[in-house]
Amino acid sequence: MRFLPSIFFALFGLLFALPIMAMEQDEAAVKAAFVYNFTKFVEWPSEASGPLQLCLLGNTDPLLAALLKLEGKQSQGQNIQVRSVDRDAGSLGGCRVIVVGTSEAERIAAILNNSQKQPALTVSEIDHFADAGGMIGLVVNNAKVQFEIDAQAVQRANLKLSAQLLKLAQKVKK
Amino acid sequence: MESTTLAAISRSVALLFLASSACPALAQTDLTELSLEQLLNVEIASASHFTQKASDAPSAVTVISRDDIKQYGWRNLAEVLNSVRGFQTTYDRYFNYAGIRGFLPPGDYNSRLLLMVDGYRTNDNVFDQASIGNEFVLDIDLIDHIEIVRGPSSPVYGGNAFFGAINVITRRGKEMAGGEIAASAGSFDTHKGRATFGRMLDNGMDMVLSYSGLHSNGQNLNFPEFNDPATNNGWTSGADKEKYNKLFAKLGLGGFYLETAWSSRIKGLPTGAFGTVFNNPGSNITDEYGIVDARYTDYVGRGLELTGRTFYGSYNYAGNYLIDNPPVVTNVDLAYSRWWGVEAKLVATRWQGHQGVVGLDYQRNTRQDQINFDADPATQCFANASATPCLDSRASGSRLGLFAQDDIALRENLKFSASLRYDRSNVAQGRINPRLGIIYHPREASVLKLLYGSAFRAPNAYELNYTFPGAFPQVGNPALKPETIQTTEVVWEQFLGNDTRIQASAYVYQINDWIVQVSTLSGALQFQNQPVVKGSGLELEGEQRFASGAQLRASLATQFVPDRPNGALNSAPMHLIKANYSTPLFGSNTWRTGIEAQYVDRCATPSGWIGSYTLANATILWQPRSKGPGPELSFSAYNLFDKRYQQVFPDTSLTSGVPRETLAQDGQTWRLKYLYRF
Repeated sequence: MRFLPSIFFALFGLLFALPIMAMEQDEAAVKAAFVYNFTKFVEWPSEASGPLQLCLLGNTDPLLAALLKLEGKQSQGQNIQVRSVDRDAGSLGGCRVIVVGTSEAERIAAILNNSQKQPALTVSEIDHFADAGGMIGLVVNNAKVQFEIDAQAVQRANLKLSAQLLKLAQKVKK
Repeated sequence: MESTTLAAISRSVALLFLASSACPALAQTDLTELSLEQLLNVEIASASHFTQKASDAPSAVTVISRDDIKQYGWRNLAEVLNSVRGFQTTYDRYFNYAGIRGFLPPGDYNSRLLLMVDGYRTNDNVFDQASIGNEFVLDIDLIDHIEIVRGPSSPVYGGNAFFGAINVITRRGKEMAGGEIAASAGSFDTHKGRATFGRMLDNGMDMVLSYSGLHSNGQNLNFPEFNDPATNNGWTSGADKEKYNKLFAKLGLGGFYLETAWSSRIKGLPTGAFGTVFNNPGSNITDEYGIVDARYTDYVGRGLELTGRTFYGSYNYAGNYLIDNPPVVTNVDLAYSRWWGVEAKLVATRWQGHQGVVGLDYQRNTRQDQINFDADPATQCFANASATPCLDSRASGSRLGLFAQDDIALRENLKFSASLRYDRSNVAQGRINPRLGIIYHPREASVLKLLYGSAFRAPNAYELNYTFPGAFPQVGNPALKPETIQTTEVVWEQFLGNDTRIQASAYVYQINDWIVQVSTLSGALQFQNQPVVKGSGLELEGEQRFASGAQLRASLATQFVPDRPNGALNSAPMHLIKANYSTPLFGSNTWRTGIEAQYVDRCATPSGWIGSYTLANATILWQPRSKGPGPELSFSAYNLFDKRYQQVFPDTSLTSGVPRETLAQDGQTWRLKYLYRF
């Protein structure tokens, strides 16, 4: 049995050398597509001018990584600019959409407090995001992505969401 | 042997890097072309994520989820740890002991491992014990996830986080959204029940209330050291009983949490240890924990978050040991542990590129009492023919810790983490321990960490004050100095796509003034500081999620510590190999199975070695709905192939006069569990 470790190492190496097989759709890519769609259904207040900035907050996670690919895509006739933001509140300026990464689960309250000064749509896949004061929470039910909306939070930020979006939400908090 | 292993390691590492660079780009449809309605119908791969948070932590972290606990059928923390890279546990039919980083000296009560519940320290103030067995204060079914941190990684932890820290995060009422009733039956007439209620009220108040109880008749066991007709040929009957009751309650509102837990476990002592009368169910041990924890987190200004905590803890240990003096009397061994304290932590993120933490914790140990007497009114201490108790040690004290940490983002992909912690207590002079870390992302999906940390542990009340006369005497050592550890570690973590993660780490450490139990010249046992102990090790882990929803985690740990550092026995094995595989059955998550296998290398005993062993456990889970009202059923078989194996527990105090080196462990056992959510 003393040679077991060597065999193990070899098998181990082999396992990860195998090409990764085709799979069902990647969760992060699906969620990123949702975020892209959301940008089409938001009406920002008139003072929110400038490019359509999509701000990513938190350590790189699959969703934030997938969102980077939205750079340059068109939404409401504008090019999307994707920007990674450090935790510092000061640099949220100009953000039209703020996506909060899973690494920030414990500081949601502080982040939302900061982002309130921004007319920005807040989106996250963190559990209970739309209950914690966030605007749109992405949730997974039965291997499908759904979303929850806190309409009050949206209103507080002077944003308007299209009726279609509200209709498709799994839950709307009024 | 070493050279072949090392050659294999280098080959495999080369392979791994090859694999990572050759990783093919995934062909995908452009999902952004789909409408919302279409997206709502897209099926995604497994919903569970790797916790990315772990990636930036200045340590090698493992996260175990509630789903893992369910699909592998784990019954206590020790079983969880057995599946975790680099950990190994042993059981002497009383407590479970954790070996980590090549360190498992018999007689150590996990004092070098910090065990927390929602950040509350559960290690008591007499033995410093991390209770990972059935005596743990929380029912394992109330756990949301477990974070396992290796090494003296964070200044927040202080004291016992010598080799590592385990933080158990409890479930939330919001997630339960109703009641749960669970009942299980297992081998040896083991029955367990649990009733839990949890929900979040409309005003945002989150609440959980739970009760659990277990009763087990235990087994009739055979101990070859007592193989004599006078001692029933080494067989016990009814001496392995176990019983526990546990309560848990939690209330949360906004940033405020109030949590309380209580647990009492009584366990029979079938092994004849501590010189007790063999095969008499009268010898038993009770462990009772009580905790109260209130904490508050608030945003106090731009980029400033304050957490305050106040806590109270109590731990009572009562051992009833039947000793044939003669006549047979009960020797009562007691410990009363009481403490309270406060903690404050300020996290500052207001300055670009910095994340700063400052904090303090203070703990007042109001009782650290140890008492031992014979339950005989005339002679309270037969061992020294005295009318006064054998031991009556009353102690109290306090400790204070101050810490500061700054994580500096030097570049987008390079972070530097530095911290200092200052500790002082009534038994240890003030000292400062630094920790440094560099966290570098050479590519998006790769993390390289270089870590250095130092930590210390003050001698505890048991090591300082426990004195017991008699045939197998133990003598306290008030002159003990704290032990210290310096650890240097390199960690490489690589994500290949979203479905594969591999991690390799190597560490070296040096312990100075190691506190270990040794035999003195007069034959008594005593804790003494020993000179330098050096250890090192290598760990490799891979995790793969499959499109089918299956998951695989496998690891190897190779650890180098002398078998007998400074002459003291270390029964840690050199190699540990683990594999955990869980998969949906019949194409959906309604049926799942979890299979795990663990290889433990040979271990040193006082006179030689005991052989390696490989164990396998399997669980089948039926869960027609993963959330909401409905039933759930699982069947688990532990030690599936009925492997006969031993673990090292030297004991020279047996009444038969035969010295013991090892204890046989359980063969195949099973459990059937039913749960209903409403």
